[in-house]
Amino acid sequence: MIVACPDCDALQLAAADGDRNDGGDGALCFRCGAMLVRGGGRGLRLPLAYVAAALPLLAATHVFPAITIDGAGTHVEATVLGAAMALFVTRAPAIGALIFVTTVVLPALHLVGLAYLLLARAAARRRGWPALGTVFRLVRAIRPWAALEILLLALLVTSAKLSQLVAVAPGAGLWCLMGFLVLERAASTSFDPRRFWQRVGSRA
Amino acid sequence: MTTATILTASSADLFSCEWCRTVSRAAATGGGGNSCPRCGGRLRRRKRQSLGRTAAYLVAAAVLFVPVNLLPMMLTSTPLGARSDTIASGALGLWRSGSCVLAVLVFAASVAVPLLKIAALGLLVISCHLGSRWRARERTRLYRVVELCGRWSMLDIFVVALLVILVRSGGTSVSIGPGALALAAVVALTTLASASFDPRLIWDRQRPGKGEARREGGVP
Repeated sequence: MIVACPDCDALQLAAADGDRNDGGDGALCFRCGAMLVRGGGRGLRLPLAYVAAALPLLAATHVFPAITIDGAGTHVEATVLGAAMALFVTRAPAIGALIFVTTVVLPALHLVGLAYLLLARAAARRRGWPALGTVFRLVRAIRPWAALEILLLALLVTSAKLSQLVAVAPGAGLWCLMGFLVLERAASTSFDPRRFWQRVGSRA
Repeated sequence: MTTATILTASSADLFSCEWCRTVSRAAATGGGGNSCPRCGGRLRRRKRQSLGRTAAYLVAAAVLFVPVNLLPMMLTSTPLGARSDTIASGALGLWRSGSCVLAVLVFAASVAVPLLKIAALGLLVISCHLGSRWRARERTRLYRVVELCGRWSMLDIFVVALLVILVRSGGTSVSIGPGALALAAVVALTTLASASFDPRLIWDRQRPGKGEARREGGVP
Protein backbone atom coordinates (compact mmCIF):
# COMPACT_ATOMS: atom_id res chain seq x y z
CA MET A 1 0.00 0.00 0.00
CA ILE A 2 1.41 3.38 -0.99
CA VAL A 3 1.04 6.04 1.66
CA ALA A 4 2.05 9.69 1.73
CA CYS A 5 3.45 10.88 5.06
CA PRO A 6 1.05 13.42 6.59
CA ASP A 7 3.95 15.44 7.99
CA CYS A 8 6.47 15.47 5.13
CA ASP A 9 4.54 14.13 2.11
CA ALA A 10 7.13 11.45 1.24
CA LEU A 11 5.59 8.57 -0.67
CA GLN A 12 6.46 5.15 0.66
CA LEU A 13 5.21 1.62 0.99
CA ALA A 14 3.65 0.60 4.27
CA ALA A 15 2.66 -2.92 5.17
CA ALA A 16 -0.69 -3.46 3.55
CA ASP A 17 -2.70 -5.50 5.95
CA GLY A 18 -5.94 -5.27 4.01
CA ASP A 19 -8.84 -6.13 6.21
CA ARG A 20 -6.82 -8.14 8.69
CA ASN A 21 -6.96 -6.07 11.80
CA ASP A 22 -4.90 -8.04 14.25
CA GLY A 23 -1.22 -8.53 14.75
CA GLY A 24 -0.12 -5.62 12.57
CA ASP A 25 3.12 -3.80 13.32
CA GLY A 26 3.10 -0.05 13.18
CA ALA A 27 4.97 1.91 10.56
CA LEU A 28 6.92 5.16 10.87
CA CYS A 29 7.87 7.53 8.07
CA PHE A 30 11.43 6.81 6.93
CA ARG A 31 12.16 10.48 6.43
CA CYS A 32 10.58 12.40 9.31
CA GLY A 33 9.53 9.66 11.75
CA ALA A 34 5.78 10.41 11.76
CA MET A 35 3.46 7.56 12.60
CA LEU A 36 2.02 6.21 9.37
CA VAL A 37 0.25 3.08 10.54
CA ARG A 38 -0.65 2.44 14.13
CA GLY A 39 0.68 -0.85 15.42
CA GLY A 40 -0.68 -3.37 17.82
CA GLY A 41 -3.22 -6.11 17.38
CA ARG A 42 -6.70 -4.96 18.11
CA GLY A 43 -9.92 -6.82 17.63
CA LEU A 44 -12.49 -5.34 15.36
CA ARG A 45 -15.18 -4.78 17.96
CA LEU A 46 -12.95 -3.58 20.79
CA PRO A 47 -13.11 0.18 20.08
CA LEU A 48 -16.88 -0.16 19.90
CA ALA A 49 -16.83 -1.72 23.34
CA TYR A 50 -14.77 1.20 24.68
CA VAL A 51 -17.21 3.69 23.21
CA ALA A 52 -20.22 1.77 24.50
CA ALA A 53 -18.72 1.91 28.00
CA ALA A 54 -17.68 5.55 27.69
CA LEU A 55 -21.12 6.88 26.68
CA PRO A 56 -22.90 6.18 30.01
CA LEU A 57 -19.83 7.37 31.91
CA LEU A 58 -19.92 10.69 30.05
CA ALA A 59 -23.58 11.10 30.95
CA ALA A 60 -22.82 10.19 34.58
CA THR A 61 -19.99 12.73 34.64
CA HIS A 62 -22.48 15.48 34.02
CA VAL A 63 -25.16 14.18 36.37
CA PHE A 64 -23.16 13.39 39.52
CA PRO A 65 -21.25 16.10 41.40
CA ALA A 66 -17.55 16.09 40.63
CA ILE A 67 -16.61 17.99 43.74
CA THR A 68 -18.33 18.65 47.06
CA ILE A 69 -17.53 21.34 49.54
CA ASP A 70 -18.50 21.45 53.22
CA GLY A 71 -17.54 24.29 55.45
CA ALA A 72 -18.74 27.36 57.30
CA GLY A 73 -22.33 26.18 57.22
CA THR A 74 -22.46 25.71 53.48
CA HIS A 75 -22.70 22.66 51.32
CA VAL A 76 -21.91 23.18 47.66
CA GLU A 77 -21.91 20.51 44.98
CA ALA A 78 -20.65 21.15 41.49
CA THR A 79 -21.26 19.01 38.45
CA VAL A 80 -19.37 19.64 35.24
CA LEU A 81 -22.55 20.54 33.40
CA GLY A 82 -23.74 22.69 36.30
CA ALA A 83 -20.51 24.64 36.42
CA ALA A 84 -20.68 25.46 32.74
CA MET A 85 -24.36 26.35 32.88
CA ALA A 86 -24.05 28.52 35.97
CA LEU A 87 -21.33 30.61 34.38
CA PHE A 88 -23.21 30.75 31.13
CA VAL A 89 -26.39 32.03 32.73
CA THR A 90 -25.04 34.33 35.39
CA ARG A 91 -21.71 35.98 35.48
CA ALA A 92 -19.43 35.40 32.53
CA PRO A 93 -21.33 34.29 29.44
CA ALA A 94 -18.31 34.21 27.12
CA ILE A 95 -16.22 32.01 29.41
CA GLY A 96 -19.31 29.97 30.27
CA ALA A 97 -19.99 29.32 26.61
CA LEU A 98 -16.36 28.35 26.04
CA ILE A 99 -16.44 25.87 28.92
CA PHE A 100 -19.84 24.52 27.89
CA VAL A 101 -18.67 23.91 24.33
CA THR A 102 -15.26 22.42 25.16
CA THR A 103 -16.34 20.20 28.05
CA VAL A 104 -19.94 19.27 27.26
CA VAL A 105 -20.85 19.71 23.60
CA LEU A 106 -17.65 18.68 21.81
CA PRO A 107 -16.74 15.60 23.89
CA ALA A 108 -20.30 14.29 23.48
CA LEU A 109 -20.31 15.05 19.76
CA HIS A 110 -16.92 13.39 19.36
CA LEU A 111 -18.00 10.24 21.15
CA VAL A 112 -21.32 9.92 19.33
CA GLY A 113 -19.57 10.51 16.00
CA LEU A 114 -16.96 7.87 16.83
CA ALA A 115 -19.73 5.43 17.78
CA TYR A 116 -21.40 6.02 14.41
CA LEU A 117 -18.13 5.39 12.54
CA LEU A 118 -17.41 2.25 14.52
CA LEU A 119 -20.89 0.88 13.89
CA ALA A 120 -20.40 1.48 10.18
CA ARG A 121 -17.06 -0.27 10.40
CA ALA A 122 -18.57 -3.22 12.22
CA ALA A 123 -21.11 -3.48 9.40
CA ALA A 124 -18.16 -3.24 6.97
CA ARG A 125 -20.08 -1.41 4.29
CA ARG A 126 -20.83 2.10 3.25
CA ARG A 127 -24.35 1.75 1.97
CA GLY A 128 -26.96 2.61 4.59
CA TRP A 129 -24.62 4.88 6.57
CA PRO A 130 -25.35 8.37 5.31
CA ALA A 131 -22.82 11.21 5.59
CA LEU A 132 -20.04 8.87 6.68
CA GLY A 133 -17.37 11.11 5.18
CA THR A 134 -18.80 14.21 6.84
CA VAL A 135 -19.02 12.52 10.24
CA PHE A 136 -15.47 11.23 9.83
CA ARG A 137 -14.13 14.70 9.08
CA LEU A 138 -16.19 16.21 11.90
CA VAL A 139 -14.78 13.73 14.42
CA ARG A 140 -11.24 14.53 13.32
CA ALA A 141 -11.84 18.28 13.43
CA ILE A 142 -13.42 18.21 16.90
CA ARG A 143 -10.70 16.29 18.70
CA PRO A 144 -8.23 19.15 19.36
CA TRP A 145 -10.97 21.31 20.86
CA ALA A 146 -12.45 18.84 23.35
CA ALA A 147 -10.92 19.56 26.74
CA LEU A 148 -12.33 17.27 29.39
CA GLU A 149 -8.91 16.01 30.48
CA ILE A 150 -7.92 19.57 31.24
CA LEU A 151 -11.05 19.95 33.31
CA LEU A 152 -9.97 16.94 35.37
CA LEU A 153 -6.69 18.63 36.15
CA ALA A 154 -8.53 21.87 36.90
CA LEU A 155 -10.73 20.03 39.40
CA LEU A 156 -7.62 18.79 41.20
CA VAL A 157 -6.00 22.23 41.25
CA THR A 158 -9.23 23.78 42.54
CA SER A 159 -9.48 21.17 45.29
CA ALA A 160 -5.92 21.97 46.32
CA LYS A 161 -6.66 25.70 46.39
CA LEU A 162 -9.77 25.30 48.51
CA SER A 163 -8.59 22.51 50.80
CA GLN A 164 -6.96 24.93 53.22
CA LEU A 165 -10.22 26.76 53.79
CA VAL A 166 -12.95 24.16 53.60
CA ALA A 167 -13.47 20.42 53.47
CA VAL A 168 -13.28 19.33 49.84
CA ALA A 169 -14.39 15.87 48.82
CA PRO A 170 -14.34 14.23 45.41
CA GLY A 171 -17.73 13.13 44.14
CA ALA A 172 -18.88 10.30 41.92
CA GLY A 173 -18.67 12.61 38.93
CA LEU A 174 -14.90 12.84 39.32
CA TRP A 175 -14.48 9.07 39.18
CA CYS A 176 -16.81 8.89 36.19
CA LEU A 177 -14.75 11.57 34.47
CA MET A 178 -11.52 9.63 35.05
CA GLY A 179 -13.08 6.42 33.77
CA PHE A 180 -14.48 8.22 30.75
CA LEU A 181 -11.10 9.72 29.87
CA VAL A 182 -9.35 6.34 29.99
CA LEU A 183 -12.00 4.70 27.81
CA GLU A 184 -12.22 7.60 25.38
CA ARG A 185 -8.44 7.55 24.91
CA ALA A 186 -8.48 3.80 24.37
CA ALA A 187 -11.28 4.14 21.83
CA SER A 188 -9.72 6.95 19.81
CA THR A 189 -6.19 5.48 19.76
CA SER A 190 -7.48 2.12 18.55
CA PHE A 191 -9.34 3.84 15.74
CA ASP A 192 -7.11 3.83 12.69
CA PRO A 193 -8.47 6.05 9.87
CA ARG A 194 -6.77 4.13 7.08
CA ARG A 195 -7.99 0.75 8.24
CA PHE A 196 -11.42 2.23 8.77
CA TRP A 197 -11.70 3.30 5.15
CA GLN A 198 -10.20 0.06 3.91
CA ARG A 199 -12.96 -1.78 5.66
CA VAL A 200 -15.85 0.50 4.87
CA GLY A 201 -14.85 1.07 1.26
CA SER A 202 -14.94 4.01 -1.09
CA ARG A 203 -17.93 5.90 -2.27
CA ALA A 204 -20.16 3.80 -4.47
CA MET B 1 14.08 2.49 1.29
CA THR B 2 16.59 5.29 1.45
CA THR B 3 16.94 5.78 -2.24
CA ALA B 4 18.65 8.86 -3.53
CA THR B 5 15.52 10.59 -4.79
CA ILE B 6 12.59 11.00 -2.48
CA LEU B 7 9.28 11.16 -4.21
CA THR B 8 6.49 13.08 -2.55
CA ALA B 9 2.78 12.90 -3.25
CA SER B 10 2.88 16.44 -4.52
CA SER B 11 5.85 15.91 -6.86
CA ALA B 12 4.25 12.70 -8.17
CA ASP B 13 1.12 14.71 -8.99
CA LEU B 14 -0.92 12.88 -6.38
CA PHE B 15 -3.14 14.18 -3.63
CA SER B 16 -2.90 13.00 -0.04
CA CYS B 17 -6.20 13.65 1.75
CA GLU B 18 -5.61 15.65 4.92
CA TRP B 19 -8.54 13.94 6.65
CA CYS B 20 -8.25 10.24 5.82
CA ARG B 21 -4.74 10.22 4.28
CA THR B 22 -5.87 8.40 1.18
CA VAL B 23 -3.53 8.94 -1.74
CA SER B 24 -5.41 9.65 -4.94
CA ARG B 25 -4.73 10.86 -8.43
CA ALA B 26 -5.38 14.47 -9.33
CA ALA B 27 -8.44 15.05 -11.44
CA ALA B 28 -7.90 16.34 -14.98
CA THR B 29 -9.11 19.81 -14.06
CA GLY B 30 -6.25 20.18 -11.63
CA GLY B 31 -7.32 23.15 -9.50
CA GLY B 32 -9.94 23.84 -6.87
CA GLY B 33 -12.82 21.40 -7.10
CA ASN B 34 -11.19 18.08 -6.20
CA SER B 35 -12.61 15.96 -3.44
CA CYS B 36 -11.28 12.79 -1.86
CA PRO B 37 -12.70 9.61 -3.42
CA ARG B 38 -12.93 8.03 0.01
CA CYS B 39 -14.15 10.51 2.59
CA GLY B 40 -15.25 13.34 0.32
CA GLY B 41 -12.96 15.88 1.95
CA ARG B 42 -11.60 18.68 -0.13
CA LEU B 43 -8.24 17.87 -1.66
CA ARG B 44 -5.40 20.34 -1.51
CA ARG B 45 -1.74 19.78 -2.07
CA ARG B 46 -0.92 21.94 0.92
CA LYS B 47 -3.02 23.76 3.48
CA ARG B 48 -4.29 27.00 2.03
CA GLN B 49 -1.95 29.96 2.54
CA SER B 50 -0.45 28.11 5.44
CA LEU B 51 2.44 30.40 6.36
CA GLY B 52 0.50 33.65 6.06
CA ARG B 53 -2.45 32.46 8.10
CA THR B 54 -0.27 30.87 10.76
CA ALA B 55 1.76 34.05 11.05
CA ALA B 56 -1.38 36.18 11.36
CA TYR B 57 -2.79 34.01 14.17
CA LEU B 58 0.59 34.06 15.90
CA VAL B 59 0.91 37.84 15.82
CA ALA B 60 -2.60 38.21 17.25
CA ALA B 61 -1.81 35.66 19.97
CA ALA B 62 1.48 37.36 20.84
CA VAL B 63 -0.24 40.75 21.20
CA LEU B 64 -2.97 39.29 23.42
CA PHE B 65 -0.38 37.50 25.52
CA VAL B 66 0.53 40.84 27.15
CA PRO B 67 -2.91 41.46 28.73
CA VAL B 68 -3.03 37.77 29.71
CA ASN B 69 -0.17 38.37 32.10
CA LEU B 70 -1.06 41.87 33.23
CA LEU B 71 -4.83 41.73 33.71
CA PRO B 72 -6.34 39.90 36.67
CA MET B 73 -7.64 36.40 36.10
CA MET B 74 -9.66 36.24 39.26
CA LEU B 75 -11.37 38.85 41.42
CA THR B 76 -12.09 37.86 45.00
CA SER B 77 -14.28 39.92 47.29
CA THR B 78 -14.51 39.11 50.98
CA PRO B 79 -15.99 41.05 53.91
CA LEU B 80 -12.43 42.12 54.65
CA GLY B 81 -11.81 43.59 51.23
CA ALA B 82 -11.26 42.76 47.62
CA ARG B 83 -8.25 41.39 45.83
CA SER B 84 -7.39 40.52 42.30
CA ASP B 85 -5.04 37.81 41.12
CA THR B 86 -3.09 37.58 37.92
CA ILE B 87 -1.80 34.22 36.72
CA ALA B 88 1.55 34.85 38.35
CA SER B 89 0.16 35.93 41.71
CA GLY B 90 -2.27 33.01 41.71
CA ALA B 91 0.54 30.55 41.09
CA LEU B 92 2.63 32.28 43.77
CA GLY B 93 -0.24 31.86 46.22
CA LEU B 94 -0.39 28.15 45.47
CA TRP B 95 3.37 27.91 45.97
CA ARG B 96 3.24 29.71 49.34
CA SER B 97 0.44 27.47 50.54
CA GLY B 98 2.64 24.45 49.96
CA SER B 99 1.29 23.09 46.68
CA CYS B 100 4.53 23.57 44.80
CA VAL B 101 3.75 20.99 42.14
CA LEU B 102 0.39 22.54 41.32
CA ALA B 103 1.88 26.03 41.31
CA VAL B 104 4.45 24.97 38.74
CA LEU B 105 1.73 23.20 36.77
CA VAL B 106 -0.53 26.26 36.64
CA PHE B 107 2.31 28.57 35.74
CA ALA B 108 3.63 26.19 33.08
CA ALA B 109 0.19 25.64 31.54
CA SER B 110 -0.86 29.26 31.32
CA VAL B 111 2.42 31.14 30.80
CA ALA B 112 5.13 28.80 29.58
CA VAL B 113 3.03 26.69 27.20
CA PRO B 114 1.48 29.57 25.20
CA LEU B 115 4.80 31.39 25.09
CA LEU B 116 6.72 28.33 23.89
CA LYS B 117 3.95 27.53 21.44
CA ILE B 118 4.11 30.99 19.89
CA ALA B 119 7.92 30.83 19.79
CA ALA B 120 8.01 27.34 18.28
CA LEU B 121 5.43 28.08 15.58
CA GLY B 122 7.15 31.39 14.87
CA LEU B 123 10.40 29.54 14.37
CA LEU B 124 8.71 27.06 12.04
CA VAL B 125 7.01 29.77 9.97
CA ILE B 126 10.18 31.81 9.61
CA SER B 127 12.39 28.84 8.78
CA CYS B 128 9.90 27.61 6.18
CA HIS B 129 9.55 31.06 4.72
CA LEU B 130 13.34 31.22 4.31
CA GLY B 131 13.43 27.72 2.82
CA SER B 132 15.79 26.54 5.53
CA ARG B 133 17.27 23.05 5.41
CA TRP B 134 18.18 23.16 9.08
CA ARG B 135 17.18 20.09 11.12
CA ALA B 136 14.01 19.28 9.20
CA ARG B 137 13.35 16.13 11.19
CA GLU B 138 13.64 17.92 14.52
CA ARG B 139 11.45 20.76 13.32
CA THR B 140 8.78 18.28 12.27
CA ARG B 141 8.96 16.70 15.70
CA LEU B 142 8.68 20.18 17.28
CA TYR B 143 5.46 20.70 15.36
CA ARG B 144 4.04 17.41 16.60
CA VAL B 145 4.81 18.40 20.20
CA VAL B 146 3.19 21.82 19.72
CA GLU B 147 0.06 20.14 18.37
CA LEU B 148 -0.16 17.91 21.42
CA CYS B 149 0.32 20.34 24.27
CA GLY B 150 -1.63 23.38 23.15
CA ARG B 151 -4.92 22.89 24.94
CA TRP B 152 -3.43 22.64 28.41
CA SER B 153 -3.39 26.42 28.65
CA MET B 154 -7.13 26.24 29.31
CA LEU B 155 -6.29 24.96 32.78
CA ASP B 156 -6.28 28.26 34.62
CA ILE B 157 -9.55 29.37 33.00
CA PHE B 158 -11.22 26.19 34.21
CA VAL B 159 -9.78 26.62 37.70
CA VAL B 160 -11.12 30.16 38.02
CA ALA B 161 -14.49 29.09 36.64
CA LEU B 162 -14.74 26.29 39.19
CA LEU B 163 -13.81 28.66 41.99
CA VAL B 164 -16.55 31.03 40.86
CA ILE B 165 -19.07 28.22 41.18
CA LEU B 166 -17.78 26.76 44.40
CA VAL B 167 -16.85 29.73 46.55
CA ARG B 168 -19.92 31.44 47.92
CA SER B 169 -19.89 31.35 51.65
CA GLY B 170 -19.60 33.97 54.36
CA GLY B 171 -19.86 36.90 52.01
CA THR B 172 -16.94 35.71 49.92
CA SER B 173 -17.38 35.57 46.21
CA VAL B 174 -15.11 35.03 43.25
CA SER B 175 -15.57 36.37 39.77
CA ILE B 176 -13.72 35.98 36.51
CA GLY B 177 -11.34 38.76 35.54
CA PRO B 178 -10.66 40.10 32.06
CA GLY B 179 -7.36 38.17 31.95
CA ALA B 180 -9.28 34.92 31.58
CA LEU B 181 -10.96 36.15 28.43
CA ALA B 182 -7.60 37.18 27.00
CA LEU B 183 -6.11 33.78 27.88
CA ALA B 184 -9.04 32.03 26.22
CA ALA B 185 -8.43 34.08 23.09
CA VAL B 186 -4.71 33.22 23.15
CA VAL B 187 -5.49 29.50 23.48
CA ALA B 188 -7.94 29.67 20.58
CA LEU B 189 -5.57 31.67 18.39
CA THR B 190 -2.56 29.42 19.01
CA THR B 191 -4.71 26.33 18.35
CA LEU B 192 -5.85 27.87 15.06
CA ALA B 193 -2.23 28.76 14.26
CA SER B 194 -1.00 25.22 14.78
CA ALA B 195 -3.95 23.83 12.79
CA SER B 196 -3.21 26.10 9.83
CA PHE B 197 0.50 25.32 9.72
CA ASP B 198 1.38 22.62 7.21
CA PRO B 199 4.43 20.59 8.35
CA ARG B 200 5.03 19.40 4.80
CA LEU B 201 6.30 22.89 4.02
CA ILE B 202 9.30 22.14 6.24
CA TRP B 203 10.33 19.58 3.64
CA ASP B 204 8.99 21.22 0.49
CA ARG B 205 10.90 24.38 0.65
CA GLN B 206 14.29 22.84 1.11
CA ARG B 207 16.66 23.82 -1.61
CA PRO B 208 18.76 20.96 -2.94
CA GLY B 209 21.98 20.92 -0.95
CA LYS B 210 25.49 19.79 -1.52
CA GLY B 211 25.85 16.52 0.35
CA GLU B 212 22.54 15.09 -0.68
CA ALA B 213 20.86 14.02 -3.84
CA ARG B 214 18.52 16.58 -5.36
CA ARG B 215 15.01 16.07 -4.23
CA GLU B 216 11.57 17.13 -5.40
CA GLY B 217 12.80 19.24 -8.22
CA GLY B 218 9.39 20.32 -9.45
CA VAL B 219 7.80 21.54 -6.26
CA PRO B 220 7.24 25.28 -6.28
